[in-house]
Amino acid sequence: MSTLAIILTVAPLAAYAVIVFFTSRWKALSAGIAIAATGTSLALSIWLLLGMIGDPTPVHVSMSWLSIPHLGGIRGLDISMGVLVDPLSSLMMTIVSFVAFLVMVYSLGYMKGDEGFSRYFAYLGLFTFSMLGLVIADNYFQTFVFWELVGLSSYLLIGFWRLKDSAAEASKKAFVTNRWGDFGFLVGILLLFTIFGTFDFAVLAKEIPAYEHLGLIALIAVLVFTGPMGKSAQVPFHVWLPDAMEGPTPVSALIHAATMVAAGVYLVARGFVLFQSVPQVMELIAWIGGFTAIFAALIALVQRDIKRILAYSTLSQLGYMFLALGAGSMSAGMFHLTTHAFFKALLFLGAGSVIHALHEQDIFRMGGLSKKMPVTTWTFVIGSLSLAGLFPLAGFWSKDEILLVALREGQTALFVIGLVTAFLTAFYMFRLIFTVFFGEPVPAEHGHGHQAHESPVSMTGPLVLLALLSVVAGLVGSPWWQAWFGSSFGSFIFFGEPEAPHLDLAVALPATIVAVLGIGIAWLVYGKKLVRHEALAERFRPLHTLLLNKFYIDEFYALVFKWVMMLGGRVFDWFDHRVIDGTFDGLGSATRTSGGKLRLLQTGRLQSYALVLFGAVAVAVVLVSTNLIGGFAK
Amino acid sequence: MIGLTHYLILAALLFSIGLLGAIAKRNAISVFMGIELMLNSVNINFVAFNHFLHPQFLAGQAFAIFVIVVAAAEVSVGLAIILALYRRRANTGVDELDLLKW
Amino acid sequence: MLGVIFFYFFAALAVVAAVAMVVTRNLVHAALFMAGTFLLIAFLYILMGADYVGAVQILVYVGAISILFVFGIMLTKRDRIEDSNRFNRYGVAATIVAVLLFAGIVLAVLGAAFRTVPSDASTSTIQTIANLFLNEYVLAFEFAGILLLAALVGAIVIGQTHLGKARAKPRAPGAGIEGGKA
Repeated sequence: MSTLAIILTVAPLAAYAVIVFFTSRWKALSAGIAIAATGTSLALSIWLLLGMIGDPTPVHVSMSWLSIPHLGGIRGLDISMGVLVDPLSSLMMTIVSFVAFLVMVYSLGYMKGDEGFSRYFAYLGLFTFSMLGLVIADNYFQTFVFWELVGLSSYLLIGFWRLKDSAAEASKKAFVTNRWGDFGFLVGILLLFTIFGTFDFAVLAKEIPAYEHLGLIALIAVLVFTGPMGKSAQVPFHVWLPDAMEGPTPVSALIHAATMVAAGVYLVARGFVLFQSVPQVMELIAWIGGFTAIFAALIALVQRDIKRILAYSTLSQLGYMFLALGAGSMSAGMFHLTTHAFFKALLFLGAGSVIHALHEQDIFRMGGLSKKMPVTTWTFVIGSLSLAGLFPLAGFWSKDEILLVALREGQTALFVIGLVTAFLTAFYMFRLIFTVFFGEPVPAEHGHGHQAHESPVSMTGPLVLLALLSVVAGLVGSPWWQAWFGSSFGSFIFFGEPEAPHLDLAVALPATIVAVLGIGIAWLVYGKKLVRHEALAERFRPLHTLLLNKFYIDEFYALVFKWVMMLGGRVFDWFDHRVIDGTFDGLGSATRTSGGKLRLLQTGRLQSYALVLFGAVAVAVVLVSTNLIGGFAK
Repeated sequence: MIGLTHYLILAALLFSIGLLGAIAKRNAISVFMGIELMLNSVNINFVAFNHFLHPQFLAGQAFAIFVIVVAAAEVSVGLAIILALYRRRANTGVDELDLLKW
Repeated sequence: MLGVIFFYFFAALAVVAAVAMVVTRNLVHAALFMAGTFLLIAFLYILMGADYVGAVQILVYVGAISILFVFGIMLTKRDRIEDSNRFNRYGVAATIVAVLLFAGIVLAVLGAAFRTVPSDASTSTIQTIANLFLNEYVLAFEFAGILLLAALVGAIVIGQTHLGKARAKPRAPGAGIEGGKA
């Protein structure tokens, strides 16, 4: 079983290597290799997942990778590499390889004719490998290695159109922002190792609850959590994700909707015991998630770029997942991750289809696409309904689960935030839908509506498949599933006690009502055009401006970097140049100056040397022959 | 009675005079003369120690003869060097030979 | 005591001759004073019963080395022989160092307690020295021979006239005194 896990992980890497070194000249062949490799991964991971459903005993294989023995008082080092296949990782593997596979198929159409076609598939392979490696890791160290690989391949993919300045800037921004989080993560796991002497998840899960210094654990938990905050783009590390939309749209679907950003959620779920042992940290995670959820949803209300709207929506949904994790329910978080992976990938790919058809990203320069692109339109609507959480689509079940957890754990404030976010989500998604797919086609001189046509089958196929899953995937977490099969998502993936799904009308009813309300208001404003949205924007000018500028967070960071960092840089630069360089330059010039003076002693005349020599001898003779300083004379 | 001390003090005096000549004279030949005088004063010490401390064993005298041999060799080579130097520089002043400097 | 008188006589003369050798401004006179000093030192050797060493001193120093010095003086041209042997700038310093050294040695010698042995000064030393050279010091003796041979060859090689020419760099006609003199 562990061999299968390794094979399915390494297959995309092999594809990457083959494409980079051998087949990059033949585009179709390269794409075929990548898709075949990812297909293998998909098949194997489904096999593993089915195996896990049959027998959920974790399979753990580990071998020593780096071992430095103890040396006197110096502590040794023992790092192992291993494979951990359990319900959590097998589910995540399946999601990753499934979305990667669909995205690759979709990219056949979307990236057609791009000169970097082979390179693109190679990068996708590398990314898939990194992500799968992260998923099967059995210890924090290995996780960190693949975590960084994920960051690297994300950097490569965001900056895929490397000649485009904005893409290059965005990739740099993503990388640097991630590094901030990764730094805390690294410090955290090193602290863990210092205390417990191991990186292994299973060993740590046993030892952490028994450790007495709660403050230290809290510090480690917060540090480790900065990693997921960076990768999953939680406030205040969220700034990179909207900019990352500069990458190709399928990449956005793969990385920035379904997999990479979910890595943070996955890591928190994987190391759940670490966070759970300190309630305050759990509280912090929940509040960061809740804040991000409503914060990003607010920004999404006014964005004009179709991909940015989806990006902020992703932020918001990731906030939901952290809210669930922080509230203490790992299964709710992972459940939302799963359903979200399907419908958000669907939405991104749908947006990609629209962009592919129009070469346009501004939603107010689109319109009336429903007739020209029926498949895209209806799959997109299904995805949006699922995201809005309408019964009985997938999003309903997972969102309901999260709200239920929040209410059950007594986090009423978070529950309200969740409800408001649900309303906002419904509103901005249907603002997008009514503007882009319905309503009047924008005149030709403003848009490209007349050229629009349905995308090829390689693109619509994945859309349909994902739309199907967006409808039914939630059922595995529904009470009906529990009733029919005697088990459900919550009894498959859990930490502590398995959670049985149940439908609480006190939660489900308000959630559905606010979603319908959001859709209705969006229809009134953007569908029926009862109120001109420009007039609304005018009415709430300050708020609108604030939202349009994303709360000025980017500007704030730029200011901080410009003043604080540059000031610090200047201080250190001064210190380096004046104090450190000065010390060594001073040593050098002191040597040179004294040498210049001392060389005058070397007259070159033999007799002066002889004079000095015999002068010294004379003094020595006088000294030893008298008892001035212990000579032998009596 | 003349003892070892007398000879040793005489040798020291001659040595000092030779040293003065070796260090303080301008002409290379004169410097050589000073050095020869210093060697001779050392020989006086050899012979004097031999005579007053170990009269039966003549090692001191033998060494004095070795010193004379070495001094002869040294003078012949040294004077040859002075001649060669003179041919190049038309001068036997030691204080102008300062090429050894920095 | 004849020995005492002889010692003080020869010693005083030797010191006077040595001082004169250093002080005189005429190089030829200096060479003559040097020869005189060596001769007086040879007498002192004989006074100590070292007749063979005294003879060698006269042969080698007074006879050979002094003559070599005179040759050296004669073969090098100078402006005025009366002013050929002047002090350099270290005169005062060198005097101080010499006096200091002398004082130190005298102090050391006076402070030392030698265990002198009375000796018979009348026996000839030549047979004993010959035995020493050909038995105990035979290796040093042979090396002294090699050293003399090397010095001989070396002096000839260094003193060769064409050596300076061969080493001199080729230069333009009339470019400096050095080339012309070499």
